[in-house]
Amino acid sequence: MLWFLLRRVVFGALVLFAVSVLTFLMYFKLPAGDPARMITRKPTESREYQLARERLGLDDPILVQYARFARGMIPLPGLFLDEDVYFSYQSNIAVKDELLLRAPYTIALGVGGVVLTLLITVPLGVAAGLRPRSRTDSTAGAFVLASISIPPFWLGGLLLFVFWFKLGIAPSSGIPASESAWEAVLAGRFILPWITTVVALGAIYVQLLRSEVSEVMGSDYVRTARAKGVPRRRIVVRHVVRGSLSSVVTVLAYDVATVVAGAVVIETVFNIPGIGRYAVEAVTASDLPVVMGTTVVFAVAIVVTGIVLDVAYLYLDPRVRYGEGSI
Amino acid sequence: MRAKRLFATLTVSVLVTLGACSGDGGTEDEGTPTTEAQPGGTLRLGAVKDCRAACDPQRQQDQFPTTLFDCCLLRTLVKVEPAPEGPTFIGDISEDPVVSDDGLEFEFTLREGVRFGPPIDRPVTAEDFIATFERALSPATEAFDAANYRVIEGAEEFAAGEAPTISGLEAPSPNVLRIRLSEAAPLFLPNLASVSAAPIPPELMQGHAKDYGRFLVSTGPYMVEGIDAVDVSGQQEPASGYRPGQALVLVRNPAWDRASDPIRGDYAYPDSVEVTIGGSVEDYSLKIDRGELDMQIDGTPPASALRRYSTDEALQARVVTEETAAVVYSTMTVAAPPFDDEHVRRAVNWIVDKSAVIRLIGGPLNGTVAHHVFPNVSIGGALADYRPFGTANDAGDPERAMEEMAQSAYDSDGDGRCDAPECTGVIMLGSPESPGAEIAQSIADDLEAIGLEIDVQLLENRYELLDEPSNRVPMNTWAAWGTAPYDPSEIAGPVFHSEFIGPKACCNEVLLGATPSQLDGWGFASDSVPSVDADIEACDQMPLGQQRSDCWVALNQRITEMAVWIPLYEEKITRIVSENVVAAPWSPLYQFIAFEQVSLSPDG
Amino acid sequence: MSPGASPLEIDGLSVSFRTPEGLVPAVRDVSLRVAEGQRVGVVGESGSGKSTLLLAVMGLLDHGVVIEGGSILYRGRDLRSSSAEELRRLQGSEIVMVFQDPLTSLHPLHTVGWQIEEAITCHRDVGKAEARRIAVSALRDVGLPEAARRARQYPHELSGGMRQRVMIAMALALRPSLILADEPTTALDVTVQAQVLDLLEDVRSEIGAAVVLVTHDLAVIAQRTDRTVVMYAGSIVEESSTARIFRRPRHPYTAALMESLVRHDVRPVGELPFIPGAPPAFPPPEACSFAPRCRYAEELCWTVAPPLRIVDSDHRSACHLAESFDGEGVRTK
Repeated sequence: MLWFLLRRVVFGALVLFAVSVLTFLMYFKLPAGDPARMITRKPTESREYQLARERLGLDDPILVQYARFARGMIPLPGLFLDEDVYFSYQSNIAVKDELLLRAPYTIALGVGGVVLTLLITVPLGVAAGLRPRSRTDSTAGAFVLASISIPPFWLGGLLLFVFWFKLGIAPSSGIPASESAWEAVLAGRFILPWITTVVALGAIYVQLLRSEVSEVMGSDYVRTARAKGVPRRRIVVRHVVRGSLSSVVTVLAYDVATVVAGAVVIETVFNIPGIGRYAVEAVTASDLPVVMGTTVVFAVAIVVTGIVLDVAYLYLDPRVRYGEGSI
Repeated sequence: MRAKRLFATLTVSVLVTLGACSGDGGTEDEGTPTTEAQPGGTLRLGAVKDCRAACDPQRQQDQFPTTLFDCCLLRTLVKVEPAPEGPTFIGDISEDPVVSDDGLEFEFTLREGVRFGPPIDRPVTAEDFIATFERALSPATEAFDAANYRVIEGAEEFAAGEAPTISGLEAPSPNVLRIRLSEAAPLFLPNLASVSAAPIPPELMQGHAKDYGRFLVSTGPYMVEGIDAVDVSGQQEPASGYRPGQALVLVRNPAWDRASDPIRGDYAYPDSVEVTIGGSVEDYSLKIDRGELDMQIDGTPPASALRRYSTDEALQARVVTEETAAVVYSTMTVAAPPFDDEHVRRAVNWIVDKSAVIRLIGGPLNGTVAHHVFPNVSIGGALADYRPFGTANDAGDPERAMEEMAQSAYDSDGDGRCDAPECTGVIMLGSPESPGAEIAQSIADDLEAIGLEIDVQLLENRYELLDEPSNRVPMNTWAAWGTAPYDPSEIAGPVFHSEFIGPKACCNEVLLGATPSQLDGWGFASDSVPSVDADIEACDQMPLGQQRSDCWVALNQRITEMAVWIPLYEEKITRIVSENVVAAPWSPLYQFIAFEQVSLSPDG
Repeated sequence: MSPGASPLEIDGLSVSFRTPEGLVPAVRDVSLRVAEGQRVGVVGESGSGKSTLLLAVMGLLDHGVVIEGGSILYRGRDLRSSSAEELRRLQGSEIVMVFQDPLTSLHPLHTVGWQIEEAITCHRDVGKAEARRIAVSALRDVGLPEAARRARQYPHELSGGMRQRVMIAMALALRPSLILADEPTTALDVTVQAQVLDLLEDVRSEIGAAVVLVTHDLAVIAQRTDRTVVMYAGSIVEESSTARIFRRPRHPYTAALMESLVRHDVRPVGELPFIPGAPPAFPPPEACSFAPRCRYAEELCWTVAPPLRIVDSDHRSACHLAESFDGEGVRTK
């Protein structure tokens, strides 16, 4: 087990390194704009401009500049996302501070959204899989179609317009300064964003469960369970869903990482000050340290998710445990 | 009090009858809106863009947060009031300033009762101003207007690290500040009205060169919520009232003494100000409709909302609109054919349909037709009736344009249409953004009538091309430039003086004042172009007053008649306010709505 | 339900598949009786309907498969008209089924012990500890070494033979009175087959259950059944005691089957005998369904479907020419 984890962590570090190098190079290759010019808004031979260039280390060789960022990727306190390198060109605020400020909102959005998605899509998908070609199945099909086709941006705007603007029963977009993420949740500010998340993410769960459940119901081992006289409900829960779990968990793990990394579109529509928006706004503004910092955080989130997923598989599917040399 | 007269004469342009909330608004004055001031309430504002540089007043001057600094948080030595005969000064923290005859020495006596708010909570002293100016000059601060302070004697040496203090700054007593300049600078005094000159407590300067904005100490009627909890001597956590990217909350500043503040002392009506950050203008517009937001600070309201409000009689009163000292224009490079012929340029000015441009930007609430190069506001409205190329409905006058063109050498047959080979394939650069792209096309279409075939090229990075004169770009359209509301110096120099030609210096695209050898070096056939350098320098050196104003007015007329530009429109600030807002007065001192003077209905 | 009545009585059962082309018959008018503790073998080639017959009895038919007529009685109780809950109570406790492929028939993600315990707790009100005890004991009964350790293993960790033992243990843990075995050894190695069949017999005789053993292997039928039922194209074509059928088959199909039986003690000479052709999907109602492949078919066979009738003592056959078959199954006349 230890060996397994170690291998995964090493691999994850490699992924992190590759991602950071790629991000860094992309920033330099694509027309990004001169950060010193952007910050000082002065012509290039002015003193302010020169000083800004020095302060930001823009004239150092690329390798040196990268090394500075690389240092901030080491996950040790004091080194990780150190403030001297990882601060926004736009606002001068340390990336670390901003991430800590914004993380609760993104987590509230992400976790709530994923939980609600599962609460809606799992029963729907399972029910549809158990009753092929029934009304439930058609409903599931319609949901999948809607979920794939409806752009979250549009839906979010529509929900806001109808439920907040016209009917006045939902709170408006944005989160007041005085509300922490928890208070905002209690105030119901995340309900419309969560619903939008369900529509944005839900298709795959419904479809996956629908087909897996339907397939598993026809499998030999379910037939055995019926022959054993196991009650239907227990068959569905202990045999069928259990068998469909691993594929759902795979998708789920990466959805969680993605949503926690920031459902940018939803955060934008509902003006939630989350991590996703922070990252995208930084890309638009060519704010390299923020881009690097958020990319590092996202990459870590996804790598960690991958490791957690692998470990989860060990418990979910015993056939993996003793596979040929995989562990 | 002077401020009160101001308030009375510059009539409130927004008045709303007390409406649904209180119910009996009609009993007192049927049809006459009430001007009763209403203290109390929370003013809710929306900002589209968050502060840059963590809202440090010396590092940025964006509309948000500067409009909040001016009214509510950061007092300065003086404030400036534009006027046609030259700006006048109102003492804010200082009593009326004493200026020497040669304009090189200034003495400010600080008023009694001006204090820093929490957590500093002590009187503001002259030493504080010295520390603030030192900070502005210090390279680590990257102040946007450090140049203003460099005219102070000893400032250059200080900035270069050669002197520990600035010799031209003295504080003979705690409430007296003396400034000596090393050279005459007529605009030095009005520049002190900028919030970058607002005093910063030295106690919080240490370690906050980059992020002082999160520890902003107020001298005004309000302060950032939570700033009182900042532990000055120990571990300093930023004020909780500013959450980057999310919101800013202002509450009353207990250390503010009304009697010491002639400008705001009668007001400070709202109990608190809550700013939401990051929403879109559409989002804010909906919130204003529902009364959940009172006004947006930056950005332009969506065209649909403007249309709806301006065409509905009941809603019209909730639209605030004022001119700004910013003009949008097209340029014609005087050295590039066919624009090296003044007749051609004048013909162009006659033919362009400016009313179409106004339509394209969303209507008269977003801009007024410009008739000359310097913005109206910056010359105190002196040339309000001056329309050298005025046409009926501003739609352009093809007849007069063709008359003008017929006098040009490029129109060989005198039919009013340019027919020389130089008249075809004339490149015009423009912005691919809307409505810049549409405006470029509209102008190009207009110019066809006088025989000019324009090759419109919409590029994201057009200024890279424009800044290099050897590219010989003939026309650029949808450019904008602004200046201080009290003086056009900031527009006169950078866009018309030869010092500002070329990629290193920028912005004089028309190439006025270029020398023959320069022109030759860039490959132009023309060997001479007009110059207004001497005129600009002459006006710039005059002290503020009637003479200087007249000088600028004359120069404005001269450049306009040279027709090196097509002045298109002057930008306006237009905002929609919610029905909770009883009054939202405009302040000529802040050149924006005075938030501290906004009165809200009692139960909105 | 009358405990004294026979464990299984099938009368005129017809089962069809629903397809886009219409109903395809799988079991046509089958009648069968299994006595207490009797071992009945059902033999036929693929597609003869023998597995469908078992699934119909167990109530495990898929959605697209319908029972069109007939009755199924367990100890006098009509299974077709029983409620789902009543049926469930019988399944796994009194009537059990052993399937062909133990790898796919066991849940891959649960331990074998868990799966046996489940069969127990669904029918008996016992605690988990007690259920585990019974499960482990059942595993021991089927001859699995280190039963307690094996119980905690997953199906993929066991060999094919061990898995089938587990299936049997699971089926027999609650001492059923009717065992339906659908080709229980087909998926196993030849060497293991005999072991498993022996085991099945041992356990069965110990609890006195009746068995319906479906197979295509005549050798198994010969050695391990009391009665034999031969099915072809969905119907029974011959039925008698195993001894009688093997001594003297009275249907050309049965005879042909025996001919194609590979005998291990006789050296093969020339080609292995086989029956050319394949069973029909839609047997015409007015003809013998075997006629196309029968070497003795006469005109009557093509025009009249032969009914299943008594042709000798305790011997039924569905052939017009049943009486004319000699000991070798060769027609004499």
